Amino acid sequence: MYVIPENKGGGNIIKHKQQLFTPLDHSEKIESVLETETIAFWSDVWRRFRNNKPALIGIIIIFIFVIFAIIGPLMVPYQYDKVDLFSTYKNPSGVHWFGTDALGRDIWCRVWTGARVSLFIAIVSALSQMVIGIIVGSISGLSGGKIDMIIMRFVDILIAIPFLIWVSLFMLVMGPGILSIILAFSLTQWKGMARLVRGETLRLKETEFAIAAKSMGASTWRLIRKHIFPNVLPVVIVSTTFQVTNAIFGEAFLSYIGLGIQPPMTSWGKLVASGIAEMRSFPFMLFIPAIFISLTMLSLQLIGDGLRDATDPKLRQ
Amino acid sequence: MAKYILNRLLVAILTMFVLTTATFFLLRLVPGDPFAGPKVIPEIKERLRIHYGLDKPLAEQYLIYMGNILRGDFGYSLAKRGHRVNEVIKDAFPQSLDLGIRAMITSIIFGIFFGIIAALNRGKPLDYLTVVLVLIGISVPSFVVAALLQYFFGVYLKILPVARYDTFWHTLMPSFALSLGTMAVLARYMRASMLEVMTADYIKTARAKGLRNTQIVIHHQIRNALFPILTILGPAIAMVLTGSFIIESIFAIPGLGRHYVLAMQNLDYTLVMGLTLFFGFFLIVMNLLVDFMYGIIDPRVRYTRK
Amino acid sequence: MDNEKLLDVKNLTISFHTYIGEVAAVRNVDFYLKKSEVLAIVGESGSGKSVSTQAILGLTPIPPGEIKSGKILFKNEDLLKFDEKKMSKICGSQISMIFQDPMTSLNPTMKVGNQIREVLHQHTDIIRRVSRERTIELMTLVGIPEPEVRINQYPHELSGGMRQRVMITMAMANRPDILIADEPTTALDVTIQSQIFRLLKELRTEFETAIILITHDFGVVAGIADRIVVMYAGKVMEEGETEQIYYKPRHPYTAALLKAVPSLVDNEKKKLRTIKGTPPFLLNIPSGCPFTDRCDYAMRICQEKEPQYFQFEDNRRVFCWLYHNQAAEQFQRFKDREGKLQ
Repeated sequence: MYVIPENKGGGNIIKHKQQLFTPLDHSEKIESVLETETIAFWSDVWRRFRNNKPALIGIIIIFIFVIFAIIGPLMVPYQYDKVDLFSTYKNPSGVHWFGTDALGRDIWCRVWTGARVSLFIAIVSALSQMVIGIIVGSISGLSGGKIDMIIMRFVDILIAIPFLIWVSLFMLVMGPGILSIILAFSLTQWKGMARLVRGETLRLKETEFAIAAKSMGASTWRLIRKHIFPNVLPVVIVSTTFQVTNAIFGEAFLSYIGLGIQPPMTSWGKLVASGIAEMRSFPFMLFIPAIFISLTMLSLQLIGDGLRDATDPKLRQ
Repeated sequence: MAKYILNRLLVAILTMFVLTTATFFLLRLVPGDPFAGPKVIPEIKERLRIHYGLDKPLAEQYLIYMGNILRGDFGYSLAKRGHRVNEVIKDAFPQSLDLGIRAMITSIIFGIFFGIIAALNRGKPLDYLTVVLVLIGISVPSFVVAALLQYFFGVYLKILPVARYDTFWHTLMPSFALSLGTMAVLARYMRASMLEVMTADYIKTARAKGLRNTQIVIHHQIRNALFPILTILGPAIAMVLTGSFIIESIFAIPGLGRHYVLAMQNLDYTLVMGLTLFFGFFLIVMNLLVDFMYGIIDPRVRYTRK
Repeated sequence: MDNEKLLDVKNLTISFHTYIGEVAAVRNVDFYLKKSEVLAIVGESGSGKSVSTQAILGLTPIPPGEIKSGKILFKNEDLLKFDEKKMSKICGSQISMIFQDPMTSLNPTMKVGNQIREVLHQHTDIIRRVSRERTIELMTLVGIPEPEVRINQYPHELSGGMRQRVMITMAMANRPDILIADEPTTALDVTIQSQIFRLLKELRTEFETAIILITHDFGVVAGIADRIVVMYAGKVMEEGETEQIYYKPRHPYTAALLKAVPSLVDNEKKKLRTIKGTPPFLLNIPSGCPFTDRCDYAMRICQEKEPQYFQFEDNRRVFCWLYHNQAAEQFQRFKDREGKLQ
């Protein structure tokens, strides 16, 4: 059937070494490997996060703030609640780096004491919201049916009313204080996390590996731990980061309206509130805490965005 | 569609009921005494308690309260003796509504505009500038923005009034401060939505049809990118509402938000309760409206919900 | 200048810049299209067939894409040199395109009638009232029942086959010289597939439109294509008339593809043949022939040097070392084995 055809176009066929025309053995062939598949998920996340400069700057800023929250108040010979009526409203100087307030208290010392309070509240309440959210969400997602419906209706109701209103109500009941703030956030703010985890659980429950694992007799707990948890982890981390910003803002709001931290204890929100009261004559009292609170929020936002982008499966090409 | 509306209405009513009940019992747990004060003698305190119905058993108080709410009566304010909560709302709501509408309009127009500009200039300086502004808008708390505005324009430059809500010039700073966060969120959403639509297959089709870039952007891209924005209008309204608590307090605007903050500071339960319910009902109704609007406008939703 | 060629793609090279490096999607590709001819471009996914045809209409996303070299001559004018304004006059009027998934290719929030009318208004001065009638007329022509009703419906209200008919209406509205159909039936089920192909054939006879049909399925091209271009890893492997390619595949890749087509004629319970391995990842282009590692007739030279095109009778060409006069021994093996299978 085949005839070696006359080669019309090949006027300039180059002669090669004849040994090049010997058949290639199968073992000499190279299976091409798709490189993209070999990059493991978390190292890929880390690689993309590391390349995200704004997020890294965010981490550095937060790190510095945490360090100063620990050592800042110890760097000056004052206490955050030490009243000195002979040196009120001092402008920032070598003696008082950030100046003093209406009662002559050192603002540097108060800013970093406030940082302790604000960051502590924010981190602890974000973590406890996360725990509650994961528990409720996975119960809801795994059990399904009536329990799922009741929990989700309850979440709908919580979501319909802005969290500041819920938190304010709780604060009225429990009275001011760090513990009350943390409790108020934890009790009202788990709804978003619960929804996320439930959604992921429902989705993963239907995927092949979960069905396969179940058919091989894996216990529910094992299924959660080995299959569902590693998959929801990225969304959980991202969402918790954003919850920290929410909590910082919430604490500031409560302290501003007088339901949060009580004097002489202080927080960033409290400092901004007294700054607003004094800004006509002593604007630095507003600017200093305003800068710290804004920078923190900005950094957390950058970190959260960076984490979200790094873990987003849609962006992993 | 009818079934969908009915379902949404039922959920809304259930939410209102739970909110009312939760508020009532939560606030009965509040430790402080609204009649406390050095000048108030115990006898008068007792008379006040009877007058406001606080001596009755809790269940009875609850039933009375629910009955009143159903009739649209939120009762008396405890701190402002003799003032009805309804009157407070009637006096304060117009200011809050005015401020809220101004803030919403500002944030929707500018948010969407900046979102479009950023998406169309993706990766160029204008995009980065918008992204940075959006980040600042999201991260800097509204009270910081409000206080800084007040300082620069009111105290330092003295070109805008620092407080109250009388003329157009009074409305500028508060509505801007209130709109900023929502504006940033909307801009961010719009940008993401535009970029997502940009890679859609039907944009390729439009190009293959020979449409010019500007035509594609106007007729296909922006149009389709706007639909998802409708879904966050509900949360945006809630954001503006809670933002008004602080903005109204800082600018001394006699609106609902300021009354709410004052009521919490004075432990004025009935006013707190009344305003909480009012806010709750308002938001639930707004969410319903946004949902229905979405159902009417977006043909895909209209179809699947028939 | 070759006047009988309506479209002539010459030495086209397109790369995509991704974060892991530059991916050479299309490398020195040539093909041409004559008036009212049907050309099928066949290849696996990632072979560069879609990328090279999208470049014709200027649909290559730049960045990340980059057209590194080449010419796309349409009526002797290089489309790659056209600006956006000039290009928009060609797209949808002289050259039009239909895509794989008619659901996502139609704007979900626009009535289908308006989407069709848009292309009419874009290229003609037709008034609104007339464009409606014309749209109904065109929809009837492509076999959409009740066009008066459909015109006011949204894409999600139509079935997959109807949506693709709407896409075809849009593409044919201005009687283009060339219709590019990029896997037009892949997203549809088999019975609808044959209806769409019948429709394309009818339209070609009626409007004398030349068609470039892009597909991964050799089974569908036999009945419709005049000529076939086989692509692999961004390269043209073999080109020739449909009959020749079908009955005398010269490239081992073409031969392998043809064996992978399930046949209705064979009633023996033959196992469906597949080609072992995966196409090379175009990030690291192999130095020789890209098919070497999956080829049953590979030689040492295939790994080391890229083959040249061997030209044969009737514009036939093959990108394979087997046709080098020094490869006679290996060619004999190919002839013996593949000859019997035909």
